[in-house]
Amino acid sequence: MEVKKSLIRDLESLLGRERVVSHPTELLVYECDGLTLSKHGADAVVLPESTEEVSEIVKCCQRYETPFLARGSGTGLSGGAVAAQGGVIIQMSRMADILEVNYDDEVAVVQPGVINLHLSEATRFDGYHYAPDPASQKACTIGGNVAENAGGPHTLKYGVTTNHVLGLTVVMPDGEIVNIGGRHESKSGYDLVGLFVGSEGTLGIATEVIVRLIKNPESHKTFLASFNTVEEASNSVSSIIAAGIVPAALELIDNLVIQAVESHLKAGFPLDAAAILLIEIDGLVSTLSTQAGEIKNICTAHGAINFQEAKSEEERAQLWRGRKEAIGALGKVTPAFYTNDGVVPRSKLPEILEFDLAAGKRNGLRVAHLCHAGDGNIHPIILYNHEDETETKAAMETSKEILQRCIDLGGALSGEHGIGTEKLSSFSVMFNEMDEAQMLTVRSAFNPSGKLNPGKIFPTGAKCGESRIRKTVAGGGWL
Amino acid sequence: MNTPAHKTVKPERVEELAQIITEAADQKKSVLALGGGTHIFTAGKEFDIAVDLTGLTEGFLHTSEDMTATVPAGIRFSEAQKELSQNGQWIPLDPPDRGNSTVGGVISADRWGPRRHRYGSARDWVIATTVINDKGEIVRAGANVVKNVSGYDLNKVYIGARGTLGILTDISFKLSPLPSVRTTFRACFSTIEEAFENATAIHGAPLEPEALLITKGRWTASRAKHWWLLIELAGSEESVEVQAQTLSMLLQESKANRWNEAGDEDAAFYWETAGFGNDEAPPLFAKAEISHSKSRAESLVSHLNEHHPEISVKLLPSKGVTIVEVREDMDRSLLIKETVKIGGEIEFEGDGITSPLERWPIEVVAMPLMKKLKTALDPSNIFAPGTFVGGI
Repeated sequence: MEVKKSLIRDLESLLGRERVVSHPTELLVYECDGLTLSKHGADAVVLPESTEEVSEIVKCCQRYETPFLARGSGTGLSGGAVAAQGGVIIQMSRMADILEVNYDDEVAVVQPGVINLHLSEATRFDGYHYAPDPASQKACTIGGNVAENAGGPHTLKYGVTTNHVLGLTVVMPDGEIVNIGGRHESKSGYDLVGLFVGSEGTLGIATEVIVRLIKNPESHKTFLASFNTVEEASNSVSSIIAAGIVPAALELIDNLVIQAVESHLKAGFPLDAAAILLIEIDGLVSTLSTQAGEIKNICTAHGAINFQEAKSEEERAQLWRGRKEAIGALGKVTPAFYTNDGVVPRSKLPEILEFDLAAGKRNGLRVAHLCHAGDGNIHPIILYNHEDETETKAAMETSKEILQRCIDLGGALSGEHGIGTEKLSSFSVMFNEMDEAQMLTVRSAFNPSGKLNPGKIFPTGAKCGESRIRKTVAGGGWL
Repeated sequence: MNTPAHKTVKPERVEELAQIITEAADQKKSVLALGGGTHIFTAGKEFDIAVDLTGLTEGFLHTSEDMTATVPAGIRFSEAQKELSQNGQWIPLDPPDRGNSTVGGVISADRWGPRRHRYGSARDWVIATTVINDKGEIVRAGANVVKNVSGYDLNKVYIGARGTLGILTDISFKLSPLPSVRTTFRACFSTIEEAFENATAIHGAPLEPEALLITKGRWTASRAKHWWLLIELAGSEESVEVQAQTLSMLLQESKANRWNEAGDEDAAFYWETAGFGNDEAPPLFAKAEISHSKSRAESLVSHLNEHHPEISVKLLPSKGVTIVEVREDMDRSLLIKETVKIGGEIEFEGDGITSPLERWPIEVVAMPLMKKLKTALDPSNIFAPGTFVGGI
């Protein structure tokens, strides 16, 4: 306790008392991220305003041999931004400036606390945007996106965060400040930017990010296709991909989610459909009508009962609002839900969706679907009552079964949320000990003390955090 | 091919290669991985064992319905593409290739071509890798899915590592549909300013070129000191037709001395001449690849051209990458100085470039981190020691 007091005193003298949060009540907010299944208490939360301050905080934590980690808006869904083994959370919300927008270089330089959507809003009227668009983009930060290699509906065509980050300023776990990559795609030496993006904040803390800006497409069309069965909808997705068509976005939403969305915000989703596909294509005007025709034919051949185009920008915005806020709407129909981020090869989509529903049924739970279907990123949402211990266990069991099945089908544990603390127990389903050792070797090279964000990704040595898990509480999230 | 090693082995199975590396590691012997032998860089060193990977050809798997493929490292890149094209797909990378480049070599050396304009480079398309590590273990990263945050993305560091972190035995790719129609336009300008002005106009127009290249000198098959714009359009017939009309109008109104839409044969010739069939520098010449922010391309190239009007240039304005060819006896310091000035990177290649310091003369800021990575993954320094950036 004395050590903790002394650490907090040092942090206060570094940042001032108003930028160090250590009162237990105030710390409650930081106990979990979007994954509310497990909670971990931090000893302090600090609010740096510069790279140098982050560096000093890191050095201070190392002196006290105290764990530390960076946190953005806490919208992550894998328990990545929580203090799994206690210690200090470095909250990046005061480093939220867009430092530069440069259309000649087609890049922006941002601080990690910049909200994802703010960058696209700042550049939209100049004809540009930042491509990765996670559903939480109104709230999530670019720093958090970098840590988790965040995706979103439009990454089907445009790629995920790693495809849009060119350079990083990183505070290393020893406090050293380094620049990797730059304002162009660096080709000298190892691709450290590629390694850091998606490393879930375990190799360093990004304090500046250089991202690509891309030109807005000349045109887009958004379609809503309705089906009588989930199988028809998922078969349509597989067939669209198999035909070599790459839409900008291709999302599958099932009836449970449709009901929730419509009762909550009225996006215009048909209540009688078992599943809908939200399909967007973009690019040159000259390419869109042919593509639209092909997609319509595929959907119709698979039994679509309706295939309609959004007739106005408002209608399109409303459909996307329905998609992006769907998870919030689900909160109205269930006391709690658990989102799974498994991903499968696209041709396996019908099979895995069927499996999800059956797995839920076996465990006595309902499973809803809100898939980035074009990517094979299935996002089954398991509905349960968090006050019922049996149901909570059943929800976790269902999710585990689904992940196992994803791996059996040649897929992966996470498409865009990361492993975090959530999927530690499933890691070895996908990777053997040698694969894990290879990754741990890399972690040790950059994070030798292991004090930066411990208890994440790798099951080895993560167990010591488990005793801190507290009671389950329901909550929201995005995906 | 001359292999600069005491012994060359050619394993035919991954397990066999793993055994070779296990033994090499035990005896701390240095290992050089060889693909098609088109871009070997030995830094004048001799190695204990050269591993010819062209025997690793088993296990090709094209899952066209998923738009992914797993390709053994020893398969020729051109053969892999041919195989994939039978189902209308391809790995959208088009490195210079005389036909014998291997998939492992292309990825290890991070080779690219003019279509990088639209498709980016290997880092955007590789989704999984299998590598033999320094202990001779077969380790895997990624999966055959197009979106994945499961464990570290080690694929990224193996790409372009030139076999210094391990040996790639197979690589999985996300694929792209092959366009049904392709057509090439070429336009000639008197000044570099005019060429850039047009490249910018094309970028701002409703066009989605596959490739957009500015060239001058040897790569234009023209002796005159003109600047040429090479543009490829591709896609469906309808889309290419509309885009071709737009581009024709744009070029018609431009300051181009002349321009034309090429027939298939001419188009192949233009791209070949631009160095994307065979990009080897002729004897006594060195090639430099400069990466820089996009906005600095014009000033960089016009400055170099002013001092050395004889140089050959090709550049991708959309990617901020410029390749220049200079006589080997020319003082390379001007190129280095100009690159440093704009915060860029430079890599030289040619017969006279023999050390890592000559090849990558500008100090990389993150070199200490790169050395840490190398030391961690190859502590005995068995994989191609002393051949990489910073002497790694």
